Amino acid sequence: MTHDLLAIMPELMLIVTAVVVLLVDPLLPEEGRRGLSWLGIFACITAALSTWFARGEEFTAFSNSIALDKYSVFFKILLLGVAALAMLISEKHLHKKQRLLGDYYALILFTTVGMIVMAEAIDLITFFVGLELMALSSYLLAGFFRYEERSIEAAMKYFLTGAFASNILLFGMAFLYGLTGSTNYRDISEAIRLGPVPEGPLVIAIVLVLAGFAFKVSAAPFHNWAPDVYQGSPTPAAAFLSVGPKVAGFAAILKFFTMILGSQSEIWVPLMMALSVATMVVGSTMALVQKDLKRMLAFSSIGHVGYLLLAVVATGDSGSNVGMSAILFYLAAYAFMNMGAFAVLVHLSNNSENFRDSLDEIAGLGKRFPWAAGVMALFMLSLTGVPPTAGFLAKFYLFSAVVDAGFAWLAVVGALFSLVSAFFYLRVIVYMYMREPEESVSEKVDGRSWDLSLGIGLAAAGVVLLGILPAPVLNAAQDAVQKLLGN
Amino acid sequence: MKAAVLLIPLLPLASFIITGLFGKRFFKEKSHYLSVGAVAVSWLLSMYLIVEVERGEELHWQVYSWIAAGSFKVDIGFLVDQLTAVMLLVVSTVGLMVHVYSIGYMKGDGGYYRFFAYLNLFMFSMFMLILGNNFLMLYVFWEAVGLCSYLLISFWYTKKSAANAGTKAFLVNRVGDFGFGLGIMLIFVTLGTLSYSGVFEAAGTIGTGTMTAICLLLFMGAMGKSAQFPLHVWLPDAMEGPTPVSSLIHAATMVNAGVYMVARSNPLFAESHTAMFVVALVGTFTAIFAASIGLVQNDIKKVLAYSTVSQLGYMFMALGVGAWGAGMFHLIAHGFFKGLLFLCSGSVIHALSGEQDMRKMGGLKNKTKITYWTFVIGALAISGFPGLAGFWSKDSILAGSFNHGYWYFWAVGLIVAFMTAFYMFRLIFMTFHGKPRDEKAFAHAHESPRSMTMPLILLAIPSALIGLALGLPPEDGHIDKFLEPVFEAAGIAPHAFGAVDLGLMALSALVGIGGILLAWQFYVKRPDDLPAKAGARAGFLYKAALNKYWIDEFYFAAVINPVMALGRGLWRWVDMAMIDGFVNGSARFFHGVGMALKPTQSGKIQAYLFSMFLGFLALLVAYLILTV
Amino acid sequence: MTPLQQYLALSMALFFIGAWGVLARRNLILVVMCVELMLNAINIALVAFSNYSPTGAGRGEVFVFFVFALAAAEAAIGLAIAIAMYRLKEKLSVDDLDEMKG
Repeated sequence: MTHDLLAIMPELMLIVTAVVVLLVDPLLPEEGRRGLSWLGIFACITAALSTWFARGEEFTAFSNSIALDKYSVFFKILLLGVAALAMLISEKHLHKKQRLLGDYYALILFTTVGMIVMAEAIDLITFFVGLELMALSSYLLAGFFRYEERSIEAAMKYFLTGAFASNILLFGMAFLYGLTGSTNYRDISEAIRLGPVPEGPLVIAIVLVLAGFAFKVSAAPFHNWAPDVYQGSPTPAAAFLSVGPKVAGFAAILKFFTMILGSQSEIWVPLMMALSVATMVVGSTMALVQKDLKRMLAFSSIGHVGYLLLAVVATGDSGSNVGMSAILFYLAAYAFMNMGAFAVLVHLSNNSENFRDSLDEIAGLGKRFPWAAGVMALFMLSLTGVPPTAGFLAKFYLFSAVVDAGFAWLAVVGALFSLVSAFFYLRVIVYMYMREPEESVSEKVDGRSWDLSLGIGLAAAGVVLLGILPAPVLNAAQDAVQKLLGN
Repeated sequence: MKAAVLLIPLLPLASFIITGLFGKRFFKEKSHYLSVGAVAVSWLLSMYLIVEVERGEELHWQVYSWIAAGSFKVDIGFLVDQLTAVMLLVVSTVGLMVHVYSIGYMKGDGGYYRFFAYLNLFMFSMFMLILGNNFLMLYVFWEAVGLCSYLLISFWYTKKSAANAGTKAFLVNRVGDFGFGLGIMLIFVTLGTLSYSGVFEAAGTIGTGTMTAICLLLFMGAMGKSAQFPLHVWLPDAMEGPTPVSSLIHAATMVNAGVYMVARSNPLFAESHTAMFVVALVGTFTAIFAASIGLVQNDIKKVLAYSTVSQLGYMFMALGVGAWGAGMFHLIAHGFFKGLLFLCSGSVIHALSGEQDMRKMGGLKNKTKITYWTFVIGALAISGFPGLAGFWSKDSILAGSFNHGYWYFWAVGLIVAFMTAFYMFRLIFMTFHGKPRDEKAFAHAHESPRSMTMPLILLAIPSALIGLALGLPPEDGHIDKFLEPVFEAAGIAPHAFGAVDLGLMALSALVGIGGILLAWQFYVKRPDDLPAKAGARAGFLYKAALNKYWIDEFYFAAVINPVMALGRGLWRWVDMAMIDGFVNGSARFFHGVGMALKPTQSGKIQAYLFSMFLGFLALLVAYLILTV
Repeated sequence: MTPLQQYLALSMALFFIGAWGVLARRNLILVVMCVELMLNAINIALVAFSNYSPTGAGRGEVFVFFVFALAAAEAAIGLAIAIAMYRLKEKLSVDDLDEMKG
């Protein structure tokens, strides 16, 4: 029993902290609430450290329902980092909108626990619990500004589409259970491989699962919720939501489709290819026609998912590790650059009278907010994939893996849409430095937040460091995926 | 050792970043403290490294793998051997002296902090260039020093001529770099590796034709960076930059990068006699070509610029005939005394409040004593006056040519030595002796401040003595022995000093002294009639030299104008019509797709859910279609 | 014993009825109810699988308990969001949620 509890020590830390935050929050005066974010960050750092120091051992816990190995270590640390960063950047914004409540931090912590469970689960039931924990907390985060129409609309849309998709995924998982008699990933994998398993229901199960996951990571044509949700959510929450669930989602996708369904790759690889291409098309082209920056970033995220799905295709077809480690590296790079971009928007929102998140607002930003503009340019360049940023290496490794697996033409398609995406990323830079501010631009107010600046700085540092010193993270990624295939 | 190797380039880099970011608001006139301090520490560490290498230590250190893409692996690594030590000596010492000098020279300039920031960036790039252990690092930092050169030449960017000079330097270098890049690519395609150790070990396996091609392409880069004919045209124009820049970059360090590169690649060059010969030929021709122009120039810095081109030619001559040690020896000596000479010229310019035309100078001997005497030491050194640095190094080169059978190069080299002595002392006599030709400027003339004269004195010492320290005994001196391991592959051993060598040495000495004496005749004894008469007698030749043989004009007519016309044509027809049409068209296409897809985001949840459901069905149908 | 297929048919029928409801109903509370209906349809399938599976007997019911708990939590949250929406807009129509589009 204790062994099991020790295994989930990081999660327990987060849960306890979240509960403490919830209980203590009503008792604190306004200023006191500011410390809550640091409590949460402290919990995340402690959890990450404890994960790091325990990384040597590999074992399963709770009767084979979660696995603690290098894979889960990688994702735990990444997710905890994302969560800490999310808490770091939100305090001032919440304060400005008069919604500075401890609940926010508790929700982030709960979401993170859910995401971690998703990544480390090797049992369908446990996975579903993690999935729902993440999802439910996310819905509330999206609607946190409950006196604003957009936020509530975002929450409702997220909830309805999310619940619908979770059900589809659950039904698929039920079928998998029914076909194989077990809910453990390895057992299911064995059963499917050895067979015989009736093909019809298996295909239905695979399609259901694929569709459910596609929703969670906003792949086309299951992406429609994402732009509205990211646009309507409070900006710091959008930062978190655009990154965390995707990371956890892909952690689970990799496990599902290589561990469990690895032997059935002829079934799902073509389907995923279609999804990938559709996602890239939607992500790149629709971002072109957006005027709202949060919406544009949402479609940009969709585009990145398209590239990631390409690598999943490459992995599934060739059975090699290279694509998988590229995915993990890409997720890490993506986390930094996407959160960074949103964080800059938070900064601008804090420091403006009435920031409308639109392209017009950032015209001439180079003059008005030189540092913000500079670091935003860095994030845009990284998202485009310009060396020597993290985004470049991430795309490079990913496309190399795709080519290595024999899908050269897919890589070409990917590169093409990457090129298209350059337009809307670079458009931001053009607006910032080569346009004059319009009269309708919001007034500057003083909304300085050291936490937020620290957060932006960390994200920028991450983008630069991963671009020139990728080795540590890349090696960690390669170690992490060693055991996945052939299981 | 590893810590030293890391800190030497990183300290100036850090200083660049800090001074660059905060210099304008926080440091202002004090910007130099951090920059000079960083370079001073780098100098100390360099000395330490040199001592270590002297003791026999070497460092081959692979730091990390920067790019690993399939078969293309490139690492960041450092190599510290005797050759590196030699370069470190020159770069760090002259670098430090120039930094200190700049405190006085650039005082009061509006871009004070910017200057030191750029200087630091340059030091970082140059250090990385010589510390790297593979061709890619060499190339990257080669470009980096080129960038710094550009930034510093056009430092006073509001002056059109300065901006143009910077652009010219950059473009001409680009031509050379084109060859350099091709050479590196050829190496990679042939051998699959770019690290020095990997390439040099496999040098024997490359066919002669390919090897010659590689070496010639690499040398193209060297021609650009080290200003050899016909890519020398940028160096004289680069004099637009502040004099410390001319001293550091265009005399002592950056222009040596080409020589360093050829020396470092000696295992490659040794395999191709054709390439070696071309190197020596180009070097020798450039030496005499540039010297002839320098004879008749009137701007004090231009004389020194052409002198630099000429001396670099000497170095390539040495390398080309296989006298590797001699070439590097001259690099060291030249680094010190040319660096010194430029700083001295800067001191003169400073004294005369900006005057650079020697025809307006004269009689400064007593007014600027320190500058005068250090200038003389430098001039004696470069002229090959017996005992001083240049004597040993230049003689080493000439002896090398002669002994390896290239008597024609030797002969030309001897003539150049004569010309060198002549134009250097022409400069000295016109500037410091006789009657001042511009009374007003002369009245205000004053010696430079301590921060400027101190480096002059400090550089004069090695200019005088380093020959004795490193070059004795001739042909088998300290420097030759020191560099033996580096040039082992080139397989040319130093030989003992014989009677022939003594004779050659005497000849070189005579020639040098002869040049000085002739200059004395021309510019001290009979300054009013002899130069003019000689000029008239030489007639066309004089005019040609004065106009730099109209090379720039030729380039404009034959190269630049046609290229620009082609560019204009392409712009109108291909770029605007075709490419823009294609790009804008495809942009409109994707934009159109986006607009067409927009209605799918209707905002209505149930529409979203419905499309998700359809997506699910589509997947099922797709599967069915694919399997049946 | 009734064959497995019949249970599955029931389960799928309920699932699709629920799905239809989610897609077609205008009142938000009804939509949430239909989501719950879908979840319960899955529960039926799970229990059926459990009963007919030689190796996995019992697992299905365990799964069902988890699904119950999660469904309850989901309903609570969904209704909380609905209440917040009602407070803001005074209406509970799905169609009203279309401010963000394009």
